[in-house]
Amino acid sequence: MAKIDDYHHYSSALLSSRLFGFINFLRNNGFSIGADEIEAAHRIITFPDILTSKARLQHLLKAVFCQTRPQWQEFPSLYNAFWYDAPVTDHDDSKADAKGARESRSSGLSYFSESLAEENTLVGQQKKVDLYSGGASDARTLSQRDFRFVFNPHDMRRIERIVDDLSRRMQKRLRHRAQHNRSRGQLNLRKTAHSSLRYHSWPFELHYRRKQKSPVRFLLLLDVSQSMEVYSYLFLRFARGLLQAFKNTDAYAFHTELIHIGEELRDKSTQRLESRLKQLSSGWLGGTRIAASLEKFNHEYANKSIQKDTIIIIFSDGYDSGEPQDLVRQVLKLKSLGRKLVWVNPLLGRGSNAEPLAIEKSLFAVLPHLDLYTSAHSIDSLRQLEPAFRYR
Amino acid sequence: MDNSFEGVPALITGLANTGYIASDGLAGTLYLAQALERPVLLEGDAGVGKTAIASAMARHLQRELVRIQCYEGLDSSAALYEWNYQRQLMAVRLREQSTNTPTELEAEIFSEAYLLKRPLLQAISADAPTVLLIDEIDRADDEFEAFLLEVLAEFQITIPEIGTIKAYHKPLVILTSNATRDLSDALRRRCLYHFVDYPSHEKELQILLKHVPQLPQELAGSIVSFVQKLRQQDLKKNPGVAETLDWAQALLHTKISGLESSLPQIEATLSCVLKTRTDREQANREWINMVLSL
Repeated sequence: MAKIDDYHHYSSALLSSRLFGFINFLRNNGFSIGADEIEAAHRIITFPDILTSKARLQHLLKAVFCQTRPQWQEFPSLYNAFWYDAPVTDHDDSKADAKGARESRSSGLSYFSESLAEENTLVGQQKKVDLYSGGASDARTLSQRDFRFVFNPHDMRRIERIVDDLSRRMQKRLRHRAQHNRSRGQLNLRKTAHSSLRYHSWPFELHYRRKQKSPVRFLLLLDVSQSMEVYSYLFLRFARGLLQAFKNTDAYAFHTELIHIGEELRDKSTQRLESRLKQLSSGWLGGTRIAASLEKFNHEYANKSIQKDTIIIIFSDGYDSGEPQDLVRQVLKLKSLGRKLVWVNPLLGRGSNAEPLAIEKSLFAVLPHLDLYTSAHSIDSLRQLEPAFRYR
Repeated sequence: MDNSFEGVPALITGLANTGYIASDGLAGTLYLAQALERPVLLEGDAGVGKTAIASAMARHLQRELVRIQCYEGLDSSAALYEWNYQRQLMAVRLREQSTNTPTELEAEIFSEAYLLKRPLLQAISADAPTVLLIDEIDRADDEFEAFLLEVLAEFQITIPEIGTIKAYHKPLVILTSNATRDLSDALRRRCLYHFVDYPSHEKELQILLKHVPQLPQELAGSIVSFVQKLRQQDLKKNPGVAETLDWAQALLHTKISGLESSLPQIEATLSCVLKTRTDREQANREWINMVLSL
């Protein structure tokens, strides 16, 4: 690719045609660029004296093409890669995320086991990207892939970003539904008539009935035992997104013990979250005592964390070292406290129509009492979790 | 394009004259917003100076600043217009004995004289161009965001009883967001984007000396270094530029000459920069010493 050393030597026509290449390059890297942005960029290169400053041109194009903070951080690297043939580097956040993920693995929170070796060879290297090819089909297969088959750290980071974004998108849709048609509310005739008395029955002061918003409440119970190792890290990330998106949400993790992790997951700093979870995570990735953990929850925390309209979601594969009837008892108790009980079993996605997955005895006993029993083993299946988040 | 606008360097100087130290990138974005007549979305942590940009631009361009502070539940009647209902009722009563026909009366009470203009309508119907600041848009509901899309696309507002009011002068629109929730793609696409980060040491020092000129240069340098180190710490709420300025003012009153020898004064005034209980609790003398020695 031709390298640009000095914009002075570029004619407007040549720069304009190269700009189309740059736009295509940005689109291939996930930027959403429409006609308005293209027009704005072409206007920029016609500004007098704009070509005398490389940095200024970059600033202006950045303001036009970027729409989010990650794009803002990624732009300089992509700009230099295209115009100066420089290698593309991951921006700092990605590195921090990858580093965090590696560290969390050693603390038992992540599952980079398969990709750790590969990741180590990647860290510190700058990666080259294909400037022109698209990534749609790759993205499609990635969203369908079971999390246990994601070995590439780069793919893992993409999944992490999608998972982070997923709950925000769900929040948008759910809020939109909850607040659709939210207007001023009906006239409160009684109150209006009462306050009209002081104005000789003229209704100078109008009063309206406030429409009650119905906030969505969630309670998340996450299995972080050995058998859930492959999935628990991403579920924790997903749970973090939910906690930050929905105010009335609380979360607990369980293995052989039950731990409250709501406060920790609400923290927006990934670094701080990692370190706090590390402190809490002794015993994680061990065995599972679901019934005992739920019993402790029902006994000690249920009153505080559950209201009548709370949707309770359990992320677990159902492997329990206790007796099935104990689990049924606790599940029934839990169900009676909240609005809806959902069990998300990532192993469910492993079965097929021809060969259904053998369900654990404990889980089998619980199934008739669940409002929804679903899978979440890939991005697509996480996206399909939305019905679980509705009251009906 | 505004005649008072002469490129990015002139804008940087102009903003500096109003007390705002803008980076080349930010000034470029604001320049572009004027040139392309597009709104600017400024995103960044609280306290990095997003709102101050709008008032600095208004002062620099000598325009009126019209501000909408967003909050959950903000609706079009609070942002756009409302009929002065009480005045309308009063007018109806006063004209009970008059010879006006009902149609004339209706035309009168639904005229502009009975209209309460809220910030958006004020900005659009102003005689001179304004700077419209839509502050903390992330706090508003999705519906308000959708409603804003219509207004920002056409810069016109239709009032059923009066007709369409179109802006004679498109205002310079600045939206700010603390990113507490995700904004819609549609709104983002209509705006130029700039992420306002914490300032560099050099820039923060410039800001500090501009706002607190009586501060000795050396002490100002130490204050900025300390605040910059604080931002590297694992704090719940990072101190913004406003906190740096407050702290500098507070330290000035303690009459200290340098930070290293003034631990008690630092400890006493640190609540100007550490604004949460958790952060304040960890800031004992050992911790302050540790930060100073970094």
